[in-house]
Amino acid sequence: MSANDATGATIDGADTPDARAARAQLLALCARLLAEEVDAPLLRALADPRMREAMAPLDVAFIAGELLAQGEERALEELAAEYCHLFVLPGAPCTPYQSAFTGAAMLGARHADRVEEVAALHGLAITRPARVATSDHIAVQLALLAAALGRGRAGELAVADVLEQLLLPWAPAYFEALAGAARLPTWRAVARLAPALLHAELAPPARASLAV
Amino acid sequence: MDLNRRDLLRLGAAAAASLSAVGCAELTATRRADPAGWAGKSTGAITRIPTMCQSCTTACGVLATIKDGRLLQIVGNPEDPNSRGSVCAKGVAGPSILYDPFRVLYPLRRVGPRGSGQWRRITWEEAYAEIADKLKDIRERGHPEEFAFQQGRNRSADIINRFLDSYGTPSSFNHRALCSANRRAALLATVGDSDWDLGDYEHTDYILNFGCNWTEAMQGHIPIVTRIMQARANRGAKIVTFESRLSNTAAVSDEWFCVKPGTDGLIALALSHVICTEGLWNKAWLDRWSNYPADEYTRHLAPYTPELAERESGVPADTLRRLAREFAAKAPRCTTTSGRGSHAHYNGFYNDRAITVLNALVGNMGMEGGFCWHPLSTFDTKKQFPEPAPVPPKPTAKSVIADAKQWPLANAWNRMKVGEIVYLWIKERRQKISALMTYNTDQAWSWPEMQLVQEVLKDEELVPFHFCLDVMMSETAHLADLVLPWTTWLERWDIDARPPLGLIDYVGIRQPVVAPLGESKDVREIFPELARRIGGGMEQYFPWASVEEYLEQRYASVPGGFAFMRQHGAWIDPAKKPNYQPYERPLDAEELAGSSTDPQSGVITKGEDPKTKKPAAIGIVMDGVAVRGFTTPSRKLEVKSEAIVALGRGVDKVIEPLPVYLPIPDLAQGLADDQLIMISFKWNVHNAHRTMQSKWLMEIVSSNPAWMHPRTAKRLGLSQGDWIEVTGHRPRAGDVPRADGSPVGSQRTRVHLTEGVHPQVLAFSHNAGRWMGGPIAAPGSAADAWVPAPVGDRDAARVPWQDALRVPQNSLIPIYPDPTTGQQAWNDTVVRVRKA
Ligand code: SF4
Repeated sequence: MSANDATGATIDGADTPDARAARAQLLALCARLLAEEVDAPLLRALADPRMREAMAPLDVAFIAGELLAQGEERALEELAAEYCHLFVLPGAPCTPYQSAFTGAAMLGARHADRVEEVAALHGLAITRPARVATSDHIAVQLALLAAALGRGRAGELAVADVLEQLLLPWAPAYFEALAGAARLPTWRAVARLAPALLHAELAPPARASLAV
Repeated sequence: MDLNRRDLLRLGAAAAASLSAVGCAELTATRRADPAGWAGKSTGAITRIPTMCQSCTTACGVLATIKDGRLLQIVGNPEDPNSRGSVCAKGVAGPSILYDPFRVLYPLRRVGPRGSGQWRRITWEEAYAEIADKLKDIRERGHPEEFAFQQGRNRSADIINRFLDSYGTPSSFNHRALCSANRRAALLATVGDSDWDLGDYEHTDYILNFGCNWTEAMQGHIPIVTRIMQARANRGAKIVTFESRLSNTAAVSDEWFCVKPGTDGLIALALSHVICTEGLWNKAWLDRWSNYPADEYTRHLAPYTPELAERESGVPADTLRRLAREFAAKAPRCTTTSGRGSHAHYNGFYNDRAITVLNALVGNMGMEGGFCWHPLSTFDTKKQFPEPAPVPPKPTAKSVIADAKQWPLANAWNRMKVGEIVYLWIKERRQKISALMTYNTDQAWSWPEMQLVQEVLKDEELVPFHFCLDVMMSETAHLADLVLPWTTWLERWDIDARPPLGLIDYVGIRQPVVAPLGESKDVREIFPELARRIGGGMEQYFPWASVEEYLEQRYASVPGGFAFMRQHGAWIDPAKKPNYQPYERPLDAEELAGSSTDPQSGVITKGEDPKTKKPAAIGIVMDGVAVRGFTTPSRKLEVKSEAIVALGRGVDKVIEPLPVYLPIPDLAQGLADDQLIMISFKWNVHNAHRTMQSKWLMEIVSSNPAWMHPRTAKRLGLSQGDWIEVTGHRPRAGDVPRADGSPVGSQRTRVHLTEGVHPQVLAFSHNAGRWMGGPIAAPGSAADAWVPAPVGDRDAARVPWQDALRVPQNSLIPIYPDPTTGQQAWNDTVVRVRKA
């Protein structure tokens, strides 16, 4: 078990294939939620009672009951407006690009290059969704981690590189900003889940440094 | 909160189920890379693609260095005949504008009240459908004029006019009256051939500069400044500047005179007075080409003595005499330059008339090294590069706002219009607007009385539907219903050229150097698509399958065609000669065939002028020879213009036929101790709202304190850096809307004390004061700052952004049109200043 002081959430970091696969799926889900707006099938899946139950230990649900009560169309509109507010508008509090979030003069640039280099180094090719402009997007980096994790032990080095070279320099601050800015539980849940997932992958010394 | 192994597996399974849900959008996915995709492949090849900058309106030729599909660098294109390989900081900053981290990259639809900042991302399909539905409905109701198009800088006039004309709307509002209408009208009234003077700077020996900041701003900036600096280096050319502020142009001049705003015309008249009374003129040239006798003009100038000019402007009379003699002694290799310092005034039209005629007195018109022009302000759109057929007819519907008949010179020669009254007149319901498209402008920030513009744009009754195409979330986009992501100049096509400083017309190309970022699109893609959806015959005017196909047709007359243009970026016909003394060119037999000559005036006419329906003048007989002459009604240089008098008479306005000094009525009322004249200026690294998105440029200039003379500060009890409150007022007198002296707005800022400004002046840079667009465009600590600095931005600590002053100057400036042309008098606002 690993402790994550930043979010208060802890996730089992066991090095077993099924635990790794589960964490990879969760990272991929976070990536999806950060990559673009929630669509109807995803909304239904997130609102599914099984998902709600599974999230209960984290004390947060992806979809609030009141949102669903408004009907699917209205709920999707609200989720889209929230997504736009958090991630799309110029100056959005959680602009998802590492370059923009960390104050670089230009979108992508060396941050995107670094993501592509790390991916190439570990034999991973990036497939960006249409609405992700450059590879330094948080969703791309989480998806890379998920893919590396999905390789089992063979992906250990990749996991370490993705974490240390890509995510750790900025993702903790990013999820903190997300936790503060998100108005709907969907991205509050991501803000709680994602850092705990990163934390779970850390080797003990690095884990300690993140906790500080 | 713990997630133990059992919880984790359960949540992992739920996540897997969510991700596999039917219809889920594609996940950000990774796959094992194909090793063959890497090994043995060469990467990183550098290519250089020529294109044309549009960080300002000068359209310099540039080369974009591209590696792996990413723009690395901008340098000048030596093959561009106008800019000849030079480029300014704004052009070099192209990558930071293209990759601006706060660009709008996707279509957005408003989901809260207008201006609430609540949006959602939509698809282009949704945007197209909504816009086409609205526009189709307006057109089918038979009121195409209710669709208004508001543009700022527009280098895609071919496609934009095609769309607006095919739609049938005359309500195309531009910003010329906010820019250069007085200068253009003065030239058109006097010379006729062109609305943009192009001194032959490279070959000149002497320049009198009337408030033109060509080292920093000005259409033609780089092509002008490089030529002037060459003349200075190679010929020892002298530069004398009259300007109310120590601009960088004033700083590189040999002499700078800090003049009271609005007195440039009087200075030109006083110089003319000296030239005429001392016989320093080129009498032979005047006798041949002026439509007004030189001796009578001398009598007209009698009151405009250097002593009067000294009293009004502050330039010593003896100095004016010396400068007049120096200028005349260098003729014909002498010229003037003038800019907003001279013409952005209530009396600006007359000021620039006086300046233009000053040149005529010394006979430098069209001479090598003198005051020149070219009839084309862009590439030859008529003969050499015509519009591909079918070309839509001009709209027959009328727009009260575009016609702006109250200002008789606004649309006399070409459609300059009166931009600053657009929103006032919409508010006054003089013309119904059902849909508004904003294109490459930020009227909610850059128009005078911007509060009024904002009020109108917020009002869903006055403007029921507003869509905005821009690269950024501007203050205007914030007040739209739909925001469409526009391509930067590095991602789009144009056929383009600007007034040629080499006096030979040319043609250039703007081409995408990288693929458009996000889902940004240009009007060349948007308008044909909208035309197809609106239908009703519009679609027939967009028959080509691609922009490339359209451009292939347009560049057909270039040897090597479109491919040559793509490779070189510009083409100039080697057979053409500089446009020196065009008025002396003899007419050939073909031109004269079927013509007739008025025996009294010697004016030669042929056929009918399509605009006036009167016989079209083609030249004049001078000493028995048929020559082209000037393209004025008299075919001579019109020192005296009866045409402008007649235009004024048509709307009960008195317009003086001769250049005069018109004291600005508001300023003539005098200034109280706490009143100053507020002027505005641009820094060399900025141009309107777009450059404020560039972090590179904002690192150089991001603040706009109020420049004040130390003597003035002492009088007001102010020290360097003190906070002040500035209140702008409408004029107290004059032929302008609401001339009642009422306040427009107030701003708090700090003073910057410098002797580089006139003691009666408060000067603000126009390049700050935005509040939208992200933390680069809107840095600072003002209370209304709505965006924090980016998290972890170490640069924020290194540059003084957080202390940047952000004064939206247009919240202080009244709507203030020159009564003849409608040009906005940017530099005449009377402000009250008090310690805050
Ligand atoms: S002068 Fe204007 S067009 Fe030329 S490089 Fe500078 S910004 Fe670009």
